[in-house]
Amino acid sequence: MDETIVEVRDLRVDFPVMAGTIEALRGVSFLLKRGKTTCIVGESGSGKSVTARSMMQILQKPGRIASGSIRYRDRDGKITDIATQPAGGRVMRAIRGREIGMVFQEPMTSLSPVHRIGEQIMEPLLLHFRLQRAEARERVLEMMARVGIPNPVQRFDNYPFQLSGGLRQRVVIAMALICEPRLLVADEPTTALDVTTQANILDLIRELQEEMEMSVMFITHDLGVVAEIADDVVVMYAGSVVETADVDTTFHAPEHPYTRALLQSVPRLSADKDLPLAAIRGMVPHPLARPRGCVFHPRCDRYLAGTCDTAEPATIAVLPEHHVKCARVGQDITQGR
Amino acid sequence: MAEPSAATLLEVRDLSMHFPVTSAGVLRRVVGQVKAVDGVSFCVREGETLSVVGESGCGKTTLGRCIMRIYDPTAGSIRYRTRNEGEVVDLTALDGRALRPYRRDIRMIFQDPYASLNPRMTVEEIVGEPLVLAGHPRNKALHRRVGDLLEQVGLRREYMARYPHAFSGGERQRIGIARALSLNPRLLVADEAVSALDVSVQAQTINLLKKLQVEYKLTYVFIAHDLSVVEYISDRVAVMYVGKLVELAPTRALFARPAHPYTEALLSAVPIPDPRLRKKVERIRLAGEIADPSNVPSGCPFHTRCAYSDGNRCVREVPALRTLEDDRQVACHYAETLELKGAPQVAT
Repeated sequence: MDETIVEVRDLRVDFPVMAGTIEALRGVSFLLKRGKTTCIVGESGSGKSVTARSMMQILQKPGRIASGSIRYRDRDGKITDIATQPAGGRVMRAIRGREIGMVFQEPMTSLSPVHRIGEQIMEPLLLHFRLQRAEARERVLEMMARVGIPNPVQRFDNYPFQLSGGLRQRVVIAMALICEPRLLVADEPTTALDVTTQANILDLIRELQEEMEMSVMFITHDLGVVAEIADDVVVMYAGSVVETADVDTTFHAPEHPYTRALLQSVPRLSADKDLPLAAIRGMVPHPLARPRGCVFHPRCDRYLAGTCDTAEPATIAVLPEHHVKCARVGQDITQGR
Repeated sequence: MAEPSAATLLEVRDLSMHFPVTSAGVLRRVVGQVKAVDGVSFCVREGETLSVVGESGCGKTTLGRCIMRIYDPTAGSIRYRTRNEGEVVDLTALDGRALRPYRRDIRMIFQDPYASLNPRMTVEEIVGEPLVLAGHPRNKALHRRVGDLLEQVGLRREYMARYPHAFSGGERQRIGIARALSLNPRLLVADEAVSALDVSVQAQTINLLKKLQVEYKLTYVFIAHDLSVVEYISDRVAVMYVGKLVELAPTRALFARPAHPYTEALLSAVPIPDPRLRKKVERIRLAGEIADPSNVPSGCPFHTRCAYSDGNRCVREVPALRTLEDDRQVACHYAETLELKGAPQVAT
């Protein structure tokens, strides 16, 4: 049995706004295992970024964790519930950067434009460890080389604007990894990059993960990327987790109609070009006007009146590590792809 | 599907778009050139979908904007075959009023459905605006026409009184498509038209574009970076690298057997949505970044990252774009001798 490093259970996050309360997360549960990569997949509005931000207690205002727990197990086996910690408190400050590193989508927004990149990578090191500057600088140069930044000594004094998008993302990764965190939370880290650069960054994350025995929580909307790097997959839709399984099951034996439809709507190389893509009808519901019952039912091809539109379905374990939130699972659903 | 013999609708010949780089300070002397598009030639055949792909900075967007005459190309010609039988005009030689009739024939669909619609105009005004500018009176017929256009793109005609903010990204993109269709164009230039959309909505939009192409006999120039989408919708694909066309071939041939090392690397980087292939596929990884278009490497612009560079001819001599036997154009000295790998899941 794999060791669990984070257990998220029934997490609810609300954003009270003028027009009402947006339930960004409506009872989200999943596990992150030690040394494994878990991908959180979903379309816009599914709550995947909010999940990532909750892990670090950096929700944007007016978001707040309404209930649920995020139980983090540290190096000594001590368990901390991140969900109940004050965002600016001592415990969170000790976890952020040290225990959990984070990489965001757009590298330019996570870097300061007026500080040299070397100094920026060094900052968490000086915060979390008692190190002399010279020693810290050595560690930074080492990390820069490790993430594939050419000529670290010269690049140390560069500003972010002097670097390409791919190199900036490497700087952000170096910053996230400099304290050797046990968990890396990466929110769409390759979405703004070219495919060629994306491939290199994915390789890098994979390599560093193996070297450092780190867990990775990788947020993406790209199913191709999921297939490339995930061990486990959490599929989210409109604030709920609809399916969790290992990557092979997700792609080859998915149970939830949304997961299946999502997989079929991706254009694939070598598919029959004369057939239209299997699009999902309709669109993601507005967060303030979500349908009753199962949130996916208006778009679902397995929709059953009287069942799907009345009560929210329970999450069922179809296998020990394969959970599906669908009332129709087990009811003669035809074999998936 | 366009036949190889299909009539050419648009012919781009030796097109260049060089932007001047000026020095800081008051003098603003021209100190260099960014060669965003540099001597590009290709044909667009009537009824086909030609995709242009490449990394950011390769000049694909600039190329689209030159075709739209948003930019004034610095050299070359864009020869367009008009609706009058046999008449061919050079769009780069025309300006203002003379260009206007052709602006109705060539329309654009933009990437960002949030930025490309005026938030202060209703959908009726947005979709009807090109018609009004073309002299259509603001009457019941216009109202009807806008309603028809909305239905064509899968929106309800009652929506026309609403403002863009009331729509999702996918619906806005449909509004943009309806606007582009309003003047019965022949050629649509779509610059990353589906990139900003969610997977499920992206599929709807791609299906819509394919349907409209058949109904209106449209020709598409589809500028994109997502190769799975490109493979699905294109008849032919053009690959650009630092302002130059490096390969152009029918889609199936290009994906199955690329002739340019850059195409091979690009195909190899596409993530495959099947975890079982993850370990089986050997990937080519490109070192470094795309070359700087203001300081293009000597010889073949790709030689700095190319695994097959001979370190001699490739460094000295710019490879010309040559036509191979299978309706393919390629700019590599060794196109005939290299045995390059196609996209992993496409059987050859």
